[in-house]
Amino acid sequence: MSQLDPAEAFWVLTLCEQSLSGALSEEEAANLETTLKENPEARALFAQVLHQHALLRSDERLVRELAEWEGEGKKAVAAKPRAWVRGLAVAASVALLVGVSLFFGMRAERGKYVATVVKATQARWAGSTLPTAEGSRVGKGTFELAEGLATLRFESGVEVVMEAPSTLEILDSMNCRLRRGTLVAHVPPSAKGFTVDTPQAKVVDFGTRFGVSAADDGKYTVQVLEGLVEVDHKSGNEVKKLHAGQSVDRGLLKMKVNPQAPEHEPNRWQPTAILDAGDGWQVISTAYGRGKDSYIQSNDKVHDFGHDPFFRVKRTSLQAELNRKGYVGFDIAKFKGQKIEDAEFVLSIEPSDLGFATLVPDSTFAVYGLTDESEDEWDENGLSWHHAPAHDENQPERHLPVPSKTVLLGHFEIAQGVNRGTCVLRGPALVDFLRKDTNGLVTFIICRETDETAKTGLVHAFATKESGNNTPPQLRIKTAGN
Amino acid sequence: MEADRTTEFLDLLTRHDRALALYVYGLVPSSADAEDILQQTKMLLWREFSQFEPGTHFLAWARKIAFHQILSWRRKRQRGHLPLSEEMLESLSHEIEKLADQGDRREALRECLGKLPHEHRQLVLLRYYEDLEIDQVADRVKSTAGAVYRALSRVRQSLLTCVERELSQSQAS
Repeated sequence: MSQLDPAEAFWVLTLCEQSLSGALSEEEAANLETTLKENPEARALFAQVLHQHALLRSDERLVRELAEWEGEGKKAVAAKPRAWVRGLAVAASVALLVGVSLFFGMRAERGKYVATVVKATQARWAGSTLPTAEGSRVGKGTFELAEGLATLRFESGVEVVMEAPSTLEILDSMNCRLRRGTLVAHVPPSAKGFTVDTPQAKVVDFGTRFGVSAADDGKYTVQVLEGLVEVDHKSGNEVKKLHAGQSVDRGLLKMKVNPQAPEHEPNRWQPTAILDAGDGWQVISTAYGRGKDSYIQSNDKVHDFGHDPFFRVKRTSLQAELNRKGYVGFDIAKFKGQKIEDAEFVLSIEPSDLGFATLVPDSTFAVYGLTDESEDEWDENGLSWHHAPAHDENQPERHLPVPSKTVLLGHFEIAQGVNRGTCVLRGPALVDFLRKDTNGLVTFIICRETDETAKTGLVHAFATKESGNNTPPQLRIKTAGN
Repeated sequence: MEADRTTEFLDLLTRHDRALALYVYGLVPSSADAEDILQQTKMLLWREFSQFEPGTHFLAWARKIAFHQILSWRRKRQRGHLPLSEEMLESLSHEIEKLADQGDRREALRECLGKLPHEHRQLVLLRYYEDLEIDQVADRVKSTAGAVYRALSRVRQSLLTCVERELSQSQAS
């Protein structure tokens, strides 16, 4: 026999299940062995069972996702559902099935509009399953906003502003799911109960304005601007009521090594790594992980520039207190164990608000890498001319780092008067420096070699992660393989 | 030089980690044992890495070493392994390799899990999410072990059929 009829196939399957739990008698086991030996089709079937059993056990995400679809995870399967519960559960699973087919990027259900795209500001969409032009009416489906802001008005009257980068799934006029990213919702009294679902929490609104930011891995933060919302953290029975001005943070804040003062703006989720044009290139910025950016100035009275939207760099032999050096740190722990083949260090030039460009010729900048790893753990708000990595305030070359603790990685130029654009540093010295990292943190020191020709010359500035409209310092890394 | 070799090893291992785990889990029913065998295998891979010829198939090499680890674990243990001969295990291992290398079964399975009816999902969750043994599942759903085996086999059958269909569709399109 080689063709398995359904009954035989089922018999083989049952034996497989039993053999996996060690429940076969010796006789049954011998029987299974013979069947598998004689029938290639039975063997192929058994291999499929083994493979599937392995997938379900070794890939936690698969079943966890199923548990999430089922609604409440462990709670849902705690007891055999009673009849009335089962009725509800069937309804829920029908709803889930609809959600599932959407999730797989299929199509919006036709003929049922749920929301309208009312405004798109500087918006660039990516991979959305729904029409994205202003005025488009949309049904269920997924929006993916890569850049800018987009406002959606739900039929229930709720207005949601998506802030890029975000992925939002529209379920119906009272429900949406924020897969990742940031949104602000304005809920009129008529739409009380509007719900934003995130991977780890459910936010139910009672007529307010509130913001939510969520990461793919479940971390989230909720900030209430007006009114009242309820936050239901999914793993556990915790339901939190939040009033205006209150917020809850599950992990997003803790991702930062320097939590900001309490009255600061709520942290929002930022993409942790962007897959660039492929070919193994990945981009991280100082906003990722333990990244940081700041600068120091040769004046005792000013320090702690960690929150500035730019860092400043200047060399002057004419005014002793106005030298400045930039410090940029990246968290490259995620590249540990990967072979770095190529790399680029990228800075965005920020229009400077200090000094006159006329007084500074075309300028050359030097970028140094900090080789003394014991000094990598600097705090972006703790730097001063007295205290900074690879820095000696008594060194005659005030604008440069201490040579014994650093390595020169290369130079870049900025022509006179240029106050826009990017500067890129690339080369074997940079790759070598990154490869030698052992603690997952790398520090770059940025110095200007060009002196000014008269006092009050231009101070160059580069965007930091606190910049609202310019790209923070980036490290682009190409790893081998994949 | 030495550092480069380490990086190369870690790079290869990271890239094939999932596939290797899947292979071992496929041939070893107990998750705890599978983890132990994986650990030993990885140590062995590193120790023997000088024998590995760059440019050849790392995963094939790693699977071969893992298979020998599985065999010696079976010889030491009386229980907890598949009640089949070594020859049968080897021929199944080749079938599993073929399955792993052909199409995205994980993605297909994921999609099929989403299509399961409610009762079937509950069963999958009890078995794989809560990680229960068959008699514990039976206890939970107030049924017998035999009934649970039959029910699981039915879930398995519909998942297998669905996965094959998904794969043939994705190849067709």
